[in-house]
Amino acid sequence: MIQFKLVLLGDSSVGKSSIVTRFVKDQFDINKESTIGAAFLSQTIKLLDSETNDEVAVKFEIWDTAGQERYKSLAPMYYRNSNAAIVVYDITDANSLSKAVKWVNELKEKLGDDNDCVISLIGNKLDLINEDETKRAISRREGEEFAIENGLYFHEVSAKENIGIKDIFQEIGESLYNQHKEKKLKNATTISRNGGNSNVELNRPSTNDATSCCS
Amino acid sequence: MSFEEQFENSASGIEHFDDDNIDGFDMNHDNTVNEGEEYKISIDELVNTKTSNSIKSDDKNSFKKLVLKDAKHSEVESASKSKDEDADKTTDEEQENKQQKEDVSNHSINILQSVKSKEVETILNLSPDKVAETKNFDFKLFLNFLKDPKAEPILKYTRSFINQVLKSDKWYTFKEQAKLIEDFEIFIYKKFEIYEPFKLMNSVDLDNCKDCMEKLITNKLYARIFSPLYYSRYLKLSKNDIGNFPDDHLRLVKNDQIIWKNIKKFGSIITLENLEIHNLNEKNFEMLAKFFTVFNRELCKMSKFRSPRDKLVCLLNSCKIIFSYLKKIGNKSLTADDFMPLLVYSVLKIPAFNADNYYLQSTVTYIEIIRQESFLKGEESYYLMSFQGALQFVSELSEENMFEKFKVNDKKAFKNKFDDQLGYITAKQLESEENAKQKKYEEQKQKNELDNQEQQGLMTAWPLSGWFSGSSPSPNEESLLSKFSNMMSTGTEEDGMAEKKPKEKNTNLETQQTIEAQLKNAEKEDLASLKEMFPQLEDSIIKDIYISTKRNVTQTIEAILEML
Repeated sequence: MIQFKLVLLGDSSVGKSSIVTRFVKDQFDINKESTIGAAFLSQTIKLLDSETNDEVAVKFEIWDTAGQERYKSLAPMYYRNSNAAIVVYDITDANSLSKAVKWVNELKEKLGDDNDCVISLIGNKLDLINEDETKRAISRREGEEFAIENGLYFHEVSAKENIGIKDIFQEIGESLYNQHKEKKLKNATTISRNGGNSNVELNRPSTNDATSCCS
Repeated sequence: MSFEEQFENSASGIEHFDDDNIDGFDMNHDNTVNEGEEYKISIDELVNTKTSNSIKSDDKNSFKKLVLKDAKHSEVESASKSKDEDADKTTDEEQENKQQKEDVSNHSINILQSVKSKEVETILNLSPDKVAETKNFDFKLFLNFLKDPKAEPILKYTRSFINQVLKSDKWYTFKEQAKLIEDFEIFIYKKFEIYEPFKLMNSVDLDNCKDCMEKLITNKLYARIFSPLYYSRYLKLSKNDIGNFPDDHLRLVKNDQIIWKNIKKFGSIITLENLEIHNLNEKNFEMLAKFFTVFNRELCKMSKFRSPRDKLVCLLNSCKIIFSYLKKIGNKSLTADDFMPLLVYSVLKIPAFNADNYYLQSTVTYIEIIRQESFLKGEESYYLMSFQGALQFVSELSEENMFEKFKVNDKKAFKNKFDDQLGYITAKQLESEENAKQKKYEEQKQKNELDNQEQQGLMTAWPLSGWFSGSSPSPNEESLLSKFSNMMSTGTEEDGMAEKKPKEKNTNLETQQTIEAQLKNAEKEDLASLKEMFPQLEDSIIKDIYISTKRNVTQTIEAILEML
């Protein structure tokens, strides 16, 4: 099975953990692999390969980070080698988008230019807006524009009402899977061009090391 | 006090469980039995390509050349790759595994099987697996596989590798050591595919064997790869000119000290609020104290195991305890927002003044570096990383940044508490320095008395202290020392055991009671040191040999060596 490491970033009150909890609990395969605690969760989703129409399973290993400002300096340890990142803000909190922007910028800076980490910017607490539109503090456009400028995925969701949660992961999963396939293809062509042993690395059984597939 | 002195003061009492009785599993043999199944360690030196002498001379003796090159720096890795491939080609050539029927290893295992079985059993009960059993890990089964005559080449390669690392007098960086071990693991796993019983195993059993192999190697090499022990070995030998201690190891040892200092400074004054830990009230606080006891017990256990796997299990257990506490107080979300601050808090609350040898940074990094990546599951590496994070947080604390790192409302009060604590620390430090001085003085006094005895010709045994720290041991002793020094530093717990059995055997020294007492003292010291050198031997065996050689330490060592 293909595995990806996904890191979760955002301030402590934006509800980033509840997004993951919602995602993990709602899927067909109840998370069995977390034996220690909920700061680390893993979840498998199924995708359709767009070319072969085969069903493929993709596993996310989700690394939660502490959102409090004083622990922010520790975040780089967590997002090192990660394949994807979800940066969460609270659409009812005027300050929270600028904090999310900081996270994104820092992430990009630390990972360097040649990384292919997939980033998704998520505005949470859509349910509160649906109840009372005046609670909105950050317009959809604001978030969306920043996302487009920076090549991020973008969604407004509600973890509480389970709106749009699954799509976040489905989208990231597909993107990572395609990335993974491309890399595999590239490896295969370089090997055949070199005329070397044909199945050196290709059929290597997947390990539990998240970095082994895409890094 | 200098850093070195401080380290030496706090470095006493590093003791370990001989879990699964690995010390009884003998790996030290003469290289001659390894013909044909030798493993060569080597690290390419970029500047000058001279390899260690001992390894070079071995080269001539081996009739199969099996040189695994590795690169000191990753830049040259690609350059040496082709050599790697060459080495792999030779693997087909080893098929003379039928000679050497007199299975030396089994033989010596039988002799040496320490009858500590009761002890081992209690230790096995303490095995870290109790709380977090991740998969079936069966070390005994693996040792049985290794004893299989068909697996002899595997045993020989492993022994050859271990012996070479132990014999090498180069000071390896941690990075180099990790590379050496990793290369060997890759090498030996390939051999698993060739030799029974490993060859015929299913993947679950094979994984178990791979994991166990790591445990075996790391147990045997522990004193050379675990930074605090490596450093204390360096300090012991540093009177001779032996070059510099590797930076990366030193950094870890220093970081351990920094963390300790900060735990001492801040541990007793910080509150839950300072770290933004919410949802805790008075009632929970009581429970927290209880939970800390367990947390500490698990963490402390980490230092009693040698393999990264076992240490990691203890570390994960302590993380689990934090979560079970959070769950118990009815915290619903259980996220990193709750976990991380409490982890930092727990580390800061480790009782600092009576447990100086946690070596947290060294231990956590040791796990991270030495544990094979394929065995570090996502979840495990997550919590290992969280621990690294907590340690980083603690090590970065200082008087200058404490108001940034902690959430403090009444800064003045906090500062006062902090200053009080500093005063207390200084007092404690003076006290311990005083104690250390006193101890040194007494040791010196004792040594002088022993020297006097010797001058009077009343001592037949060689005072051991003389040839450990003495000015110029003869080459013979030196080689013995280097051969077995690895064991010395792993078996410090034996001192006490040797003292427990001052068996009253009839000797011809009964005439003068005072002299007898002196001699007994020397004997105790000798036996304790011998026990350190040969931890796999039973106390009574050592003592018998010691007495039969008329209490001559060198002769005892030679006799034991012959026996091995």
